[in-house]
Parts: sequence; C-alpha cells; structure tokens
Amino acid sequence: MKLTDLTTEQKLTYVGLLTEVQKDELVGQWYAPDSYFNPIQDLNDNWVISVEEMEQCVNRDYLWVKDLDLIPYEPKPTPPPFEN
Amino acid sequence: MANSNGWGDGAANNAIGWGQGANNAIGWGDIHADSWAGLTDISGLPTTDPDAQAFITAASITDPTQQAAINQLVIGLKADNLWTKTKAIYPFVGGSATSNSYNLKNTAQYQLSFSGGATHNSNGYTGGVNGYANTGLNPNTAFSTNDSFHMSIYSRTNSSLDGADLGGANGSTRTDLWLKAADGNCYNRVHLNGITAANANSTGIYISTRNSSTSLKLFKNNSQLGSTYTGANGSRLDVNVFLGAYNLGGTPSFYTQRNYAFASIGDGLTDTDVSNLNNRINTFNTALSR
Repeated sequence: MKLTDLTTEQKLTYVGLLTEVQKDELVGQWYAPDSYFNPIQDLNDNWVISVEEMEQCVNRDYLWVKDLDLIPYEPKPTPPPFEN
Repeated sequence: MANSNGWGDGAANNAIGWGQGANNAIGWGDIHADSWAGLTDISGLPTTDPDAQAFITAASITDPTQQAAINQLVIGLKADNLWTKTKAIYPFVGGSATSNSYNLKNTAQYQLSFSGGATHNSNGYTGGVNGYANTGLNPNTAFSTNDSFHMSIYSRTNSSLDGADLGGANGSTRTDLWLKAADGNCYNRVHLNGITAANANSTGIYISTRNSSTSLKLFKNNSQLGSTYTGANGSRLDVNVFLGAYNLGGTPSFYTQRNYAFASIGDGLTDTDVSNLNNRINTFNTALSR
C-alpha cells in the first residue's frame, strides 16, 4: 500500500516502512520547516516513520519518503515508569 | 495665560490644563509638544505589550484576533505576577510549526524543536505516532533550587494511553505529567516520586506545582486532582523536558498523540497563582475559539 491509497482513518494507524540505511539517512534531517524526521521501531523492530512526515515532506533530498510502502503500526509495548 | 489649574483656551504654561496652548504639565491641549502627559500621548491605545509584540513579530502572527489574544495574555500574566514566574510559555498560535515553536516569555530561548509526525493548525499542536517537541529546557540548568517548579499544559484530546504529556527521566530523577495512562490514572512527579490520581478524561488545563521540598500539588481545571504529595523531594531533572513524549535519558518514548493548545514551565505557584494561570489560559483559548 502507498500513500495515495490511504483513507483518512488509515492515516492514523499506518506508517512508512524504512530500511536500516534509509533510517540512517533520515535521522537529524528536516522534512518541513522546523520539523525533523523521527524514525522509530515497531513491535517487529521495523524502522518506520509517520504518515505526516511522508505527506508533509518538502525537503527535496528526501522526497522519496512519499513512495515508501505502508504497514499497519504496531507499537512496541514498553512498561511505563509509574512506580511511586 | 498661565493658569495653574486651567480649563481655558489660554496659550501656555497651564500646570494642569485642558487648554490649547503648549507647555501644559498635564494637558489635554491640542498643541502638545511640551505636554508632559497629554491625551495625545495615549491616543494610540490599545497599545501592544512589548513582549507580546516581540512574540507576534518572531512568530509572524498576522491575524488580529490572535494578536489581541496574545497581547491580553501577556498583560494578564504580568498583572497577576505570573510573568516573572515563568521560563517558558508555549501558546501554540499561528497554525504552523514555526509559529508554534516560539516561547512567548523569550523568543530567543527554549524554542521548541518538533520531531516526528505532527499537525499544526488553529487548534495548536498534535503529535503523530512518533511526534514530540523538545523544549530545550533542562531543569537542572534552568533552575537553581529543587523546591520551586511548575508545569502546565492544556490538552484538547481525551484518550487513555501510556504516553507522557510533559517531562522526562534520568536515573531515579523524574519530572513528568501523564494526563491519563492506559490504567485510567494521571501521574505527576517533580524530581522524584509524586501524585497518582484517577482521571476520567484527559482533556483540560493541568497545572502541577512544587512549592517546597514537601509540597507537590496537581490541579485540573482549577480543582486539585489527587492529594498533595508530601514525600521526599529529589534532585532536578537533568535532561530536556519533552512535550508530547517522554525524554527517557535522552531518547524520546511514550508518545501521546494528543492535541495541545498551551503549555508553560516555571517556578512554583501558590494556589492563587494556579487559579490565575488557569483563568488566563482559559481566557486566551476562549478568545481563539478552542
């Protein structure tokens, strides 16, 4: 699935799939004014970015993010530090 | 003539004069070159507070409603003696990442840096699945005492998830605010341990304030949430405070995806200060219809 195939509802639950090399390219780079890429790992240790980063990217060096394959986002479960 | 308290149309030298002449000490005259405090000196009302104007200029705010709301907010915070108790104020106004990034208190300091997915619009800032803002404010360096600290945030999203709305942790030091975790509780710590309180809804204006080594309070919409925490205090957080995620020793985690329309960080607040700040935040956002 590609960005143009997404419904409005799916934009909230899908993410763009990155290779390790692509992840390294994006770290520290801006995708729009005052906005930076933030690749994260999902439940299966895939590197992914959000649909917003893909849609809003205007950095000509990274417009290829608009063509990333999309996968459902499965967050990595992490126990929150709530003990008091 | 030289009236000492003249309403006449004499020429000059009225001590308190409504005359037309010059040199009135306090004059409403229409020749006012030498009037000390003539009506024409304040004819430019309403004036814009210089700090409000600095923000409006930096953030390129052109909408008159937004400009007026910012001005009233600054004037109100100063009138309530809250301005000097803040280090960072994020009004999230203007609808872009750039306008939302500026610190109203000082546009040259603690500017937000947005990372990950985000939506910036008239309702403020909303993070995506990996979206957060780095305030650049490290409490260990920004503050000189462990016993005075506040943070506020206005959330417009009701959701239950393990996401941190403000804060971070390094080692055992934690300064954070989780409006509504997946277990339905609100969690708030300032420097070490703190408050756990059931929270039915994560929307609202939240203000957390530590006023001493043994007093940490959390307020939601002007009412205290949970009990005052009186346990031992810890050392100050030594990483930057993140908004919309948790700064876990330098790594962002626990994203909230909530919509925020105001946030501040500063010194500890009294109960009266909390009430005043809550009202100023409410008035500001009401003016912006959000």
